[in-house]
Amino acid sequence: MAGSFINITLKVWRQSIPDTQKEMGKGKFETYRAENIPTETSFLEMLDIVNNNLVKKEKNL
Amino acid sequence: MRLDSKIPDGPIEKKWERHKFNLNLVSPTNKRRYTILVVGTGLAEASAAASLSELGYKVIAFCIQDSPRMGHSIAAQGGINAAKNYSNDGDSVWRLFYDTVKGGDYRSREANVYRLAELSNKIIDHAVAQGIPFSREYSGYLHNRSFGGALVSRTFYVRGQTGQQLLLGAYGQPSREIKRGGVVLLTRREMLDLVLIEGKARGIIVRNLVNGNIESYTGDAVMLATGGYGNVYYLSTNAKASNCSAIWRAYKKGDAFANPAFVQIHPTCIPVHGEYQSKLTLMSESIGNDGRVWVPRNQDDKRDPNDIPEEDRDYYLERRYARFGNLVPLDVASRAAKQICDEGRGVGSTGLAVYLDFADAINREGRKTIEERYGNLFEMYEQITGVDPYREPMMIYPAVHYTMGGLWVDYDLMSSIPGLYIIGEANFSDHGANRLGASALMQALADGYFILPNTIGDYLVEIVPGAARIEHSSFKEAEKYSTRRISDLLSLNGKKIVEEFHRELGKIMWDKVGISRNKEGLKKALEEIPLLGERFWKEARVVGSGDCLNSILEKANRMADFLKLGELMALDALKRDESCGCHFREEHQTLDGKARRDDSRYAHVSIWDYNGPAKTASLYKEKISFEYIKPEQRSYK
Repeated sequence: MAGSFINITLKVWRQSIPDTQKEMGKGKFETYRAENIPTETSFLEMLDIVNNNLVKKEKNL
Repeated sequence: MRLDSKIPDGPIEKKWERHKFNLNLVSPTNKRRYTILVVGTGLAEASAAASLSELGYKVIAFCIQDSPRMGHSIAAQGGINAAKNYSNDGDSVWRLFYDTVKGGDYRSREANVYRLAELSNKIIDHAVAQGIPFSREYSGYLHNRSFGGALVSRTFYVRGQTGQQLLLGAYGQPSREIKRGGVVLLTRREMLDLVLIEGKARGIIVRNLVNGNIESYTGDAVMLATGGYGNVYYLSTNAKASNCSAIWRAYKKGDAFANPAFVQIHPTCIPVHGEYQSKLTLMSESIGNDGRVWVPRNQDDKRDPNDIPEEDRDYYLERRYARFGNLVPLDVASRAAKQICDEGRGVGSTGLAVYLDFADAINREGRKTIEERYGNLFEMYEQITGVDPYREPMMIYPAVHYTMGGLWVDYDLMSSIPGLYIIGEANFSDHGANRLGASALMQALADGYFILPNTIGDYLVEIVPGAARIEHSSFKEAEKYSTRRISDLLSLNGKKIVEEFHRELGKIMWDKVGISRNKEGLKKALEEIPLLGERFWKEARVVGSGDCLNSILEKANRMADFLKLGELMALDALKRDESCGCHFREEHQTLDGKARRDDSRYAHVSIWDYNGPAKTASLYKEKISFEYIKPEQRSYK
């Protein structure tokens, strides 16, 4: 429905280096809040919003 | 600049066969000594990589995705044209040739288009042999449907997912070659630069998107199949990863860019819904076979569409274009929708939409038949909008979809740089100022399966294989440039995210270099885009490091190129002081609002040559002449 907003709690797996045959890249779950997300946004667009907010807060991605 | 189109002499029906005979061949035992670098994903890339490898050449293929199966060709829905005349409705190679030249508003080369029409039938045979599950009649014969700009049914299709099925078929071939060792596939690599040695394309520099390494590769020829640049508008139907960087870096190395202003805006897309929207979705033009476009007669009529009776509806395409109706070419349908919405007669919450109604078709043929034809499209529409198009008309609005412009190529698909070949949407070759629906897949596969594999040998035979070395100073300079570029982008420490600049660029492009253009708007765009570029390099924010996966860095890298390309597109649109096909200059229209060409001054390809960052590009012209088709005012009435 146009004009509605929702808040979502996300558990995101973060891992900067891929797994190799020798060792597992060290990854972990982190929790993020996605707030005031318009309901017409897609899941990936919601992640864009979360990412862009993190960039603005100088959080290293 | 090397701008000889190399169109062969002789009657048009004989040109390609005769030309193939006159081309030099590389002997079968020598082919394995040559390495060809193939950049891109999609139908053009897969078909060329497989065909070259099967011939015996060594191929190294690069793509930015995890797999070449993720190329944007996979999104093509409606179908692929061919002049088989299975419908027995008067089609022929000649008619497909004529329709394509006319549809392109007489801005494409006759010889190229004739060859495309001629090869179209071979593509279908090839695809059937691969097992592509084209829709068939009950009897088993392949079924055809109609597309815009044609009065015959010549479009072969696989429900609404023709591109996906063709890509799976095309990708099967290089997969076998990868296993055999003929193709080396390097995924998640993005081209940063083209390397020239003695004026010839001899290699590329790529960034490994996973670990950030800058890598150099040598080859005896380079082929770009990197698709179109519609994402310069930010919102388009292209995949998010589609970008202009590979062709733009080649342009900066001296390659000619042709007709950058020729951009197709597709009439049947799901309308924009909100601020955070990242891309638009196409509803195939094929639905025009059964859908009827309309708006309420009265702009204040806010009733639900199903409550509006026939007499209060304006089926404006059928009213204006009695002969072609809802199947006018894409550019004509897009402009008509925009005009209706500009008059305040659009529907939906934004007023930027028109209805596409299937009620008549469902009543006439039954829901089951419509489901068989477009089931997946209807489902996709419902998933995105929450509205069931079997019960309520779809809402559609034009969106950027395809770029006819691209790097200039000759008849052999070689660009102005010797040894650099451009195929598929990345080149400018066959669609003139407007591509007809279902012709993009046809061109990508004609280029990849049948043209390039025949022509490339003529160049290679003159080349000493394996002569390029990554120790060469040209590679070192290109590596240095690429490394500096990445560190410059990483140093951007402003306050705005890259998407904000991209949206701003998209708005300038859509408003001033979009469906319709005028001198004043284009001049304004040429002032605004460079200023936006300056702000980007001061105010953008790129975080993270260069030695790992960094999607912000990737976006910033592509964005910097889009800014420069946007400027070139506006310049090209300004200099082409006529209307033709998708390039609609408001100053040049007929009394009833149709594009008015100026063949005496603009029957040419506009070709741009890079002059460095501080100078305006130089404009060259390749004259387009017509021997077989007489240019006339396009009419679809």
